[in-house]
Amino acid sequence: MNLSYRICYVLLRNIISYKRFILPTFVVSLGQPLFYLITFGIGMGAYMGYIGGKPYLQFLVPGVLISSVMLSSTFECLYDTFVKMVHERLYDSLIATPVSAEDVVAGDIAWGALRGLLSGVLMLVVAMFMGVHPSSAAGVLILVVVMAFVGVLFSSLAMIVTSVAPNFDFFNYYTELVITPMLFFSGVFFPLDKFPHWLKVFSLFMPLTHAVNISRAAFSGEPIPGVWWSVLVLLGLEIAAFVVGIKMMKRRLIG
Amino acid sequence: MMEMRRAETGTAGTRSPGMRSAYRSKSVWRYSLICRTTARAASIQGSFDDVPGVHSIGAASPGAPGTTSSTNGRSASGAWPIGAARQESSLTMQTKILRRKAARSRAAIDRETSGMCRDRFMRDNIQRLFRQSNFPLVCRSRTIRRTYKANAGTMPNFVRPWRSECILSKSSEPECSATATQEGFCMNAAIVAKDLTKKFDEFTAVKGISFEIGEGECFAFLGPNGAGKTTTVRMVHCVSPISGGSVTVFGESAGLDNRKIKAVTGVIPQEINLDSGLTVHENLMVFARFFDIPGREAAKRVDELLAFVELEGKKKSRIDELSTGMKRRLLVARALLNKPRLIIADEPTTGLDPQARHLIWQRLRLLKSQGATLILTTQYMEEAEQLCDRLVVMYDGRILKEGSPRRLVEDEIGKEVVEIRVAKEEDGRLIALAADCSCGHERAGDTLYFHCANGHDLVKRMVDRGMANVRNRPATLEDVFLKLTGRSLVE
Repeated sequence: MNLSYRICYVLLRNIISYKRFILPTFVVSLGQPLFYLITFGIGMGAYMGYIGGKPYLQFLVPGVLISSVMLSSTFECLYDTFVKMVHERLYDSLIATPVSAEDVVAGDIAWGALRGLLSGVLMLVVAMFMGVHPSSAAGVLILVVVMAFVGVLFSSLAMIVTSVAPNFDFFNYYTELVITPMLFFSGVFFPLDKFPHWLKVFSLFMPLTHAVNISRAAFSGEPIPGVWWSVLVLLGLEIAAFVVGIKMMKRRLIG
Repeated sequence: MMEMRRAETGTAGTRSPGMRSAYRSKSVWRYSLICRTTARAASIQGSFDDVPGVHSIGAASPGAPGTTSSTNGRSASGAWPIGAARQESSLTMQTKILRRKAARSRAAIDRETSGMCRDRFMRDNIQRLFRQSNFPLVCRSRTIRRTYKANAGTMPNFVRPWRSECILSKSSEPECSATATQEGFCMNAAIVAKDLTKKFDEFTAVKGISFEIGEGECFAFLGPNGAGKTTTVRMVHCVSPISGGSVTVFGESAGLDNRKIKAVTGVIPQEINLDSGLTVHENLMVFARFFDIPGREAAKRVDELLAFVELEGKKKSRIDELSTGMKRRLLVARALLNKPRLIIADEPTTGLDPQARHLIWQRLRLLKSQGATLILTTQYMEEAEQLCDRLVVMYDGRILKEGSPRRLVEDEIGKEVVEIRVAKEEDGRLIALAADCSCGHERAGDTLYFHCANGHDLVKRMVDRGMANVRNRPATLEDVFLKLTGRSLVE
């Protein structure tokens, strides 16, 4: 690992480049989760009644928040990174400077996480307008940390996929076979209690399940059983994904 | 030959203050004697007399024995034909020069000299001379380098300034005179590659090549597609891991991500990889940051560089609004942000119109005259002739030949080429006709080529015989290239 402070330069490059696309990407990163909140939260929520003694919207928000971070980070590090790497050959020009390949990839992971965090925070603001608040100010802080964390995790995972992708179509395998199931089997939209045992076990292998657990705990202010396990699992997975993602991308970049 | 030698090295001497320390004395060049072959020695003797005061002999021989690859048949194992006659001749020469010097400074002669060292006799001689000497000696040969490495104890200071030359400095460091650095071949090796190899899984792209590039020199890699030029260059500027052998750049050992080397290198890439998310100005500003150039300084340099490549008016433009020529020029500007000591131009003018191409050439020449070392890879022979001092022709991961463009053309082809478009069946008759012109000939496709010193006579004969489609032209680097790498398509 040859990381240095130059990660910030890469991040800065992305921010400068981003300012031109702020409006469209804001719309995109707000749009989808917002639809979830309105349709599921308000529309369907009217039929759902209460879950765990709270309105359905209260249940939904912590999950959708995290999943929007996941989606933003993932797509950033799949498609945008791929374009920069293969189509624009931008990475080649970067690694010819004192910036190392690791710096470049880490900078892009940081950027993916930042994008995720941004859409998560936007979401949180919308949710607060809809009357769903975390229990305390500390809860908000924890949420922001968790979102940044989840952003890095899914950016790194996406990097692993990008590092082996021959073309755009390849990403469909990942988004359809990994990301979409994760969205539905991680307790974002409904509690997992009624699932058969094997499905519950299966869901434990999904990082999103753990992230949503933590998010719920932060919103309710009440510790959920096993939440520390979730933190531990996420932390381990995150470090692994970060290291593997950078290594694999580096191999692809330097050929 | 001496002239060329001087032209090659004369200007370089003024550029790098660093190398002066390695090259202290006027006597270093004044009293050095290098020769390689008997044949050459004779011609050298002539020019020697013509150039009083410059007594360094034996100029850079293209494809110098042992300096490049084994494909250079005669030098495969350093097996230069050794004969008593040659020994004698070089000795005679040495004596002659010593005598000349003796006329000027008898005392100095006793202490200084150097010689060629491809055979044992000379080697011993040099060692003996060295032991007696208090002054640095110059030699251009691999063997002597090995000799001195083996004798590190008796030859404590071993400096190798450029290419296969070496300075053997015993201990005392005589003062450097200005003329010495200006006229002598005071050159530091900016880049030294030894047995450089690059493997991709099954495929070996670069097969153990060795070369040295002097500071301030423009050095070109020529070769067809897939010859390994870009791969070699990528290893030099530390973006591709080295599979075997070594490269040093300005004394730093190149390896993947050597930030020190990357910080002093400017790369003009083969592909246009500008940041399309940013404007022209932003492109350069962001790039300057990668080199840790502080904002105000960066802004200043960006303005200068945009003027340098004549893109001031396009400051606010987006990349996709630029023409290919403008993009290439912007790439040149970008490569110069860090004021590089080493500029790597990987096919910098591919796909450009003549105007843009000439502008880029001018800029590269200007940079070279300011002291930058330039590595060029190209398929355009004209580009190589326009820009470079020395080049290697690469093919299939190996170096086939090394030398200055003019020298390569003369050695490989001669002065002129006569092209005759004629059916193959006529070959025998025509070759017989040209037999006494001492021409080499080559058949490629529908054309028969004669390589000769003077094509006029031959053309006259052909025309007299009623041959149509006869063309006489000066030999170019392209002929060398095609001769060495073959005329068939390379995939």
